[in-house]
Amino acid sequence: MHLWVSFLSGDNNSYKLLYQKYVKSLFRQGMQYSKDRELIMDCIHDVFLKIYENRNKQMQIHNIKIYLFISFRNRLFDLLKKKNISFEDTNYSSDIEYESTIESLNPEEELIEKETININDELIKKALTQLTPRQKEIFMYRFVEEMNINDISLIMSMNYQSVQNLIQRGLKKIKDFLKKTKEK
Amino acid sequence: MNRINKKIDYTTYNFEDFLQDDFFINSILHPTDDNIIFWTGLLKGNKQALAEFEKAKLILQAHTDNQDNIISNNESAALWDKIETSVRKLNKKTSRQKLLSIAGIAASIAILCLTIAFFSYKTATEEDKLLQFAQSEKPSADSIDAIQLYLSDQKIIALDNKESDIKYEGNGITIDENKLLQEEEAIDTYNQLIVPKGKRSKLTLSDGTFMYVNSGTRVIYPSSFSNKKREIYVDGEIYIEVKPDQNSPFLVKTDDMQIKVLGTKFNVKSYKDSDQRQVVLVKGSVSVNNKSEETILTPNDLYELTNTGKSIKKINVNEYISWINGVYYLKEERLDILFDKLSDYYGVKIGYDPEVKLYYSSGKLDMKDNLEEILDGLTFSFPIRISSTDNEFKITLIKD
Repeated sequence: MHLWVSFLSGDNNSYKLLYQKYVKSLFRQGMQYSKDRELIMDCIHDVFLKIYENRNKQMQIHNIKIYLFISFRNRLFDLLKKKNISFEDTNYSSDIEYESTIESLNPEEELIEKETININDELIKKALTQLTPRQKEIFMYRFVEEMNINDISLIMSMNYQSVQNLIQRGLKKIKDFLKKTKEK
Repeated sequence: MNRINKKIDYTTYNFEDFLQDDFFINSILHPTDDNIIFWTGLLKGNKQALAEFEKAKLILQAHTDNQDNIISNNESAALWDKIETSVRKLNKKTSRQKLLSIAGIAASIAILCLTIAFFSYKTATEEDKLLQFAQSEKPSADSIDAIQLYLSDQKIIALDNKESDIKYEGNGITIDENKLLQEEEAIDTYNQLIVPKGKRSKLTLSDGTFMYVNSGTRVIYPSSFSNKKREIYVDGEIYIEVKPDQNSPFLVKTDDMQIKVLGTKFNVKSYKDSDQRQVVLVKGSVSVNNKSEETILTPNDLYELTNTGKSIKKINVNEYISWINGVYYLKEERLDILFDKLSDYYGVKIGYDPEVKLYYSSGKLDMKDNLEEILDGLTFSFPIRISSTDNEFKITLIKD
């Protein structure tokens, strides 16, 4: 809040500090929607330019992080639309679920695999790849940005319950995946 | 988030439960001596819980370890250079007042920024100023999702909490413990507090008068009161405790009523799109003026204004002001009306079979529970089934 206020009053160093504080998080957020690094960086550029342009409007923002996340996301959708990539972000039930399939291994590999089935990093990494893009995004907000459900629902334009459901479905996916590999 | 919730029995948790717990997430991402001691102590000797704990921990850490989505220092520095260049170009351009474009920055519900045409008082008579302002400056409480505080001119503050606490004191406004310094403003500039459905707020005015503001309500008041009179406008429901001031009567204005008090506690309910106009007096004395007559109320009076006229009766005030504590008393309330009220209170759509109108409910509703729990609770007393999709609930009757 202090950083934002001093930025509004014309302190250019605060502007740079704001950038440094949030650029990594915004980039990570962008990667949930596109692997085009240049595009994401363009988007961050646009967002920061815009807040600079509107500095004289003196918008009193209660939570600058959420504000940036939302602005960034909106701008990203605009840029992606121009590239003819659109997201049905209003209807998360269309979030495509892929059936998690365990690749079939040859007998030798199977033996080795059986012997080393315990919960380890590799397995968890594999489990996480089973998540849908929206589930990955929501876990990023929750487990990396440490946001609460209310903030997440603001950013993703979903209601509280839908956010919780999405998280629970993601967790269930992980559970089922780990179970399946255990039973092999 | 970083406080231990003593009510939770973590020893029965599986890894999904851990990953939905704020304190767990906080402990793993920000380990301290205290929380490390807490977890090791708790899980000692409990192999099952420990395994689940470790599993959750690995999953959580796998997210922060993920290096694929990180911007490199070089990329970040280069990007900043690009931004600085654009800013320099911008400063070179002659600056003109630009119209604020909402769509580009924040089209979503959290932040709204409008330029309000500043209302000119010169043409209005003393008496009508407040009401005219209310009519002309009218973003209705239905159209936005965040609690909004309109200070004069172009300052709008959006609050993303479910309940907020706003206090006017001395030189500034305190919002949920954060202090905002007020600029020097003329007396008589009006502020607006807009509380949409599903949210509530507490508001303390500059004279110490305090009120609870219910969902779907708009309150207009001057940022500081003049010496002669204190006036506010309400469209919705408030419970207000007026600070006594013999020299300056307090007026609450709604579209059809004017309530004058000297110092007292009462509840006003007057929603624009509902026929209910009610004033409930808790303590003190008020006079209610309804454009044709003036009535003096005494404590425990319920003044009700309908199309056919006014009525007064004695009631139990607790039933009418319990909402400030999140409790609603139902007295043979028709189920469809109850669902509509819940829908308004939580800001969530609830659809229902028309036949639920046949059922009545009495009792106490604790609104601190989440909506799903309340609806589930109703299934014990009524033959209904609850289903939910992303944004709404649907109530169907079980027909045997």
